[in-house]
Amino acid sequence: MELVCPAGSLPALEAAVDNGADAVYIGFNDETNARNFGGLNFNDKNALRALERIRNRGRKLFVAINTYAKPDSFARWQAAVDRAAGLNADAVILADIGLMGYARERHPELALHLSVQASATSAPALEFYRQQFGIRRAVLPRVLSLKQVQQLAAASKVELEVFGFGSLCIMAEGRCHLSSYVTGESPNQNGVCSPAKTVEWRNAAGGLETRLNGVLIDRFAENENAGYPTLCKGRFIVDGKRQHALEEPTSLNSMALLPELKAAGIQAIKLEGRQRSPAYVAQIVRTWREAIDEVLQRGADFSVKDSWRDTLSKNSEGKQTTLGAYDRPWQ
Amino acid sequence: MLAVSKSISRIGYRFGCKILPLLPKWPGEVAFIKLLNTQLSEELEDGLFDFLDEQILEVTVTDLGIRLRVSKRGDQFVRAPAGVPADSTISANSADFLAIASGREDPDTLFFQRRLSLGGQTEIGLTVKNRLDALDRSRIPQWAQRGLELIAAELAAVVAN
Repeated sequence: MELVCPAGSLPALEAAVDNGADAVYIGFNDETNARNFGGLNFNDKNALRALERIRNRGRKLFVAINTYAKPDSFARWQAAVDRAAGLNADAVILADIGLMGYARERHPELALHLSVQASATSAPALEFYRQQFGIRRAVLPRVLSLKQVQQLAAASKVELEVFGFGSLCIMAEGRCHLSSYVTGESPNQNGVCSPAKTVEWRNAAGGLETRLNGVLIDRFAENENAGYPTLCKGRFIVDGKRQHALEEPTSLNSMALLPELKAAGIQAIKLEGRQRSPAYVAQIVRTWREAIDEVLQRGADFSVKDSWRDTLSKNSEGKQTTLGAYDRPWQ
Repeated sequence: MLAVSKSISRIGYRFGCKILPLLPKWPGEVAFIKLLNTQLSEELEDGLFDFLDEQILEVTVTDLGIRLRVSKRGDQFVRAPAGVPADSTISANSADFLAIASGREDPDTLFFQRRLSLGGQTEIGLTVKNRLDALDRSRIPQWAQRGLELIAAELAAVVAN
């Protein structure tokens, strides 16, 4: 089972490698990746340094080009694929079908991973991507229950990667434009949900207020844990009650399911968080490395240690974790 | 070594909490900005901090009452003029700032736990965070790094008590 870890900077990449990542995924510093934030990600110089450090340590480097190209600037996304191929990255993680066609034709030797943003949730969908574009691996959307993941794994001819840990959003993966209703920009088009230039935090009488483009989306009382300022995690008055109408600030943690995922033949576990610091990367990668090693050694005898759970909870959005859709027996 | 660093942290912290808030201006501001200019000269030349041009970033260390106001002009960080409101503010207590500086804790984690707060233009605060995260830590001498880690660990314990 491969441990695939996030890096938004060189120090984060080093933290991932030092703490046991098998593969690290990065993005270029523009809208071709879904963590397009100021000061984050890799220019050509740093991408080369990243590759050098990865090669020195015998790990793998993936490049996420996981947003949808715009009709008037497709060339920028093509250039990103060319840059990744030029780097000799071990794979590119793509969502846009046009871009996949381009990568397949132009760089037939470049391994393609289907991004979670492509939202392929059925065996025929995965098979289509395999036949058309020769994808080697697919990252499964976080909307599937464990049983559905197991069924897909049994039927799939491509490697499957699932999410182990990270901030959750509303999970309309590849289809979410919620952010753009308020800010004009969304993750799949502009690589950013709630762009920082539209976010405002203000201390007011009722607590800490969050505004997106001037629209109030939440208010936190003094001791309440906060989350990312996204519309889906805001609190709104519905039927006279102020509540999380769509999603609570929380992080997914599927560690408890590691034995089942391994038995199902899942080839890789992905950790989320390219926007986080090296300190986060070091802590969660070390924790997952230990857990995966334990599963490989003990199989079904595995149980989640309290110290692992504590570290993951501490670093979670809203300070809480969930099994998310994995734990939906009715699905 | 450990015992010495322990008592230095403890005594220094108590002393700082009492004395520093009484001063009208933190005396270390000039020295700190000078240090930033020498340590980050390469980044400044590469334009990585241009987003701070003519902007005022205010960093407040809540428990010590330290307020650092920094701006950028040309290729240099400069002290921000007094009386002009900041464009972006970041505040936390000394233990949490040290935990971030020493790589012990992640700023987003502290933010979720309401230990770090941001005000004004979020983009400036976020970009500062990302730029600092991307700095090559191997440039900091090993002993200084280790010292920072020790003090951060100790201060986390002192403040928690």
